[in-house]
Amino acid sequence: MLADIRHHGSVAVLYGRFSLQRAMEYPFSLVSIVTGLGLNYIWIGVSLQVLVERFQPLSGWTFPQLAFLYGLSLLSRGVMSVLSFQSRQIDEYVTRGTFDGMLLHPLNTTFYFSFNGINVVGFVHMAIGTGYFLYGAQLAGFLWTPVHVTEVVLVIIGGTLIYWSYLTAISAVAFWTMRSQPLVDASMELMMRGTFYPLTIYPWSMQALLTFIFPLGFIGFYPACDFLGQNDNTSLPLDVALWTPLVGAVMLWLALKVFAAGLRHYESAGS
Amino acid sequence: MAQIELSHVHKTFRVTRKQKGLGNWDLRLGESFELFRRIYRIDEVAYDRSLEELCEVLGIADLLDVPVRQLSLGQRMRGELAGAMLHEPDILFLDEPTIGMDIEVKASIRTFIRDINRRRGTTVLLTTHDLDDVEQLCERLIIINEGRIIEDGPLADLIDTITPYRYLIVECDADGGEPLAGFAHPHAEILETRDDIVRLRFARREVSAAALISELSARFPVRDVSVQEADIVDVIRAVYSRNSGAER
Repeated sequence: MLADIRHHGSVAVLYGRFSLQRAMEYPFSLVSIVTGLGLNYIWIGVSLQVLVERFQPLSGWTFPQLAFLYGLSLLSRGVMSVLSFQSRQIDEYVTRGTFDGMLLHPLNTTFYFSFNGINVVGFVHMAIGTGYFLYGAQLAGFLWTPVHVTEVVLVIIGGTLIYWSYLTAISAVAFWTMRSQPLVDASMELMMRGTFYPLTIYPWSMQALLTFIFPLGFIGFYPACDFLGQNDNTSLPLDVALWTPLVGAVMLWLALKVFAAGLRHYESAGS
Repeated sequence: MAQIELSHVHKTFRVTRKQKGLGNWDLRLGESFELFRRIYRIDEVAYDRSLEELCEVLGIADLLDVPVRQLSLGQRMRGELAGAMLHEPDILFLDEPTIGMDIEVKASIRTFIRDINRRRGTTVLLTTHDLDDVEQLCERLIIINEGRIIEDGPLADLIDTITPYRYLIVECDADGGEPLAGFAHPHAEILETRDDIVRLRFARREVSAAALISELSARFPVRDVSVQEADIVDVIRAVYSRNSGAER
C-alpha cells in the first residue's frame, strides 16, 4: 500500500516537473496568460470594491470581508487547478484514444487521469487568491492564531476536494457522451461565480441548493462566516474547519463512484 | 474463469497504439521514456542497459532530446516501440506498427520486431492490414472477421491448406493470335491473358508444374515459363470469399 502510494506520488511528481519545464519553454505564452488572468481577477475585485464602497455592503459584507471570502475560494480553486485541471480535457482523451493508454498503464486510472501534469495557470489563481485573502484577513479582523491557520489549511484542502470532485464527476460525463468539456467549462465558471459572493445574497431556495445539493457554500462562504464572525444566520452545529473537509470527503466519494460508473460504461472510441 | 492479477498483466503485456503510446507530445522522447521507467518501476541499471540497446537497434539516440510532436511518423513509431520494450514485457501487442511508413522505416521496424522476438523471446501479437507485415513477420496467423476467429494456424499450413494451387506464367510466340488457343486441362485454368503472356492456376496436388509445362510445351509455342506460389493475399482472399459465401 505504502509502496503503491510512493510509486504513484513519484510518477505525479515527475509529470509535474516536466509540465513546469514545458511551461518555462514558452515564456511569452506564460506571461500573456498570467497577465490576462491576473488583470481579470483584479478587475473583478476592483468592481466589487467600487460597488460595495460607493453604494452599500453586499448583504452586510464589507469589501475586506468579501476579499477574504474571494481569496479563500480562489485558493481552493487554484490548488485544484494546479493539480488536475487537465482533467477537463477528458473528452479529447476519450475521442482521440488517449484514455485507452491510461487504462493500460500499471497505475490507478482515476489517479493517472487526474494527476498527469501540472497546470501552471493554477498558480495565478493561487497567487491572486493569496493576495485577496491576506488583504481581507488584515482588514477584516482575522485572528492569526495557530488554530485558525490550521483551520484555514483544512478548509483549503476541503474546498479543493469539493472543486476536484465536481470537475471529476462532470468530466466523467464524457464516458457516456464522448463530449463534456463545454459542460465542464460552464460548471467551473458557475462554481467560481457561486463561491465568490456571500450565499445570503441569494434567495433561500438557492442558499439551500448551494448548501445541500451543490455544497459550494463550504468552499468559501461558511468558513468565511466562521472566521470573520459573520455567522449570525448561518451557524452550523460543528466547527466549519471540520465541515468543509467532511463535505469534501463525501463529495470525493461520490465523484469516485460516478467516475467508476463511467469507467464501467467506457468503450474505446476506436480512433 | 481463471483470475489474472492486473499488476501481472500490466507487467507482462505492452501495447502500442497507432502513434498514441508516447502520451504527451509536448514531452521530449527521453522524458517519455523516463516516465515509463517510473510507471513500470524499472530499476536504473536495467533501464540504462535496455535504453542503450534499443537506441542502437532503432537508431533513436539522436532523438531523445526532441519533443515527440516534432518527430516524423516513422521516428515516433520507433520511439513507441522503444518505449514499449523498456520494461521487457513478455508479450507485445502491436496495432498497425507500419501504417503510413515509408519502405525504409517499415523494413527497420520489421527487423526490430524479428530481433526482439529472437533475442528477448518476446511474443508479438500483431494487428495489421499490411500483408507484407504478416508474410515477413508472422509464424502464426489468426484471421478475424466481424469479431469471430475464422482461421487460426501456422502461416505455411494455412497457405498449404487454403490455397492448394500454384500459378504458372507462360509466355508464347503467338504472333498476334490467341497464345494458348483451345487449352483445356482438368486441373488447370487460365486466369488471364495479356498479349503473349498467360497466367494459369493449377491444382498442385493433382498435377506437377513439370508435367504441366511439358504438356504445354508439346502443344503450344512456349518461349518462357515461371512458377509462382500462392501467397498470403490468396489466403486472405480465399478465406473471406469462402466466409462471405457461407453467410449468404
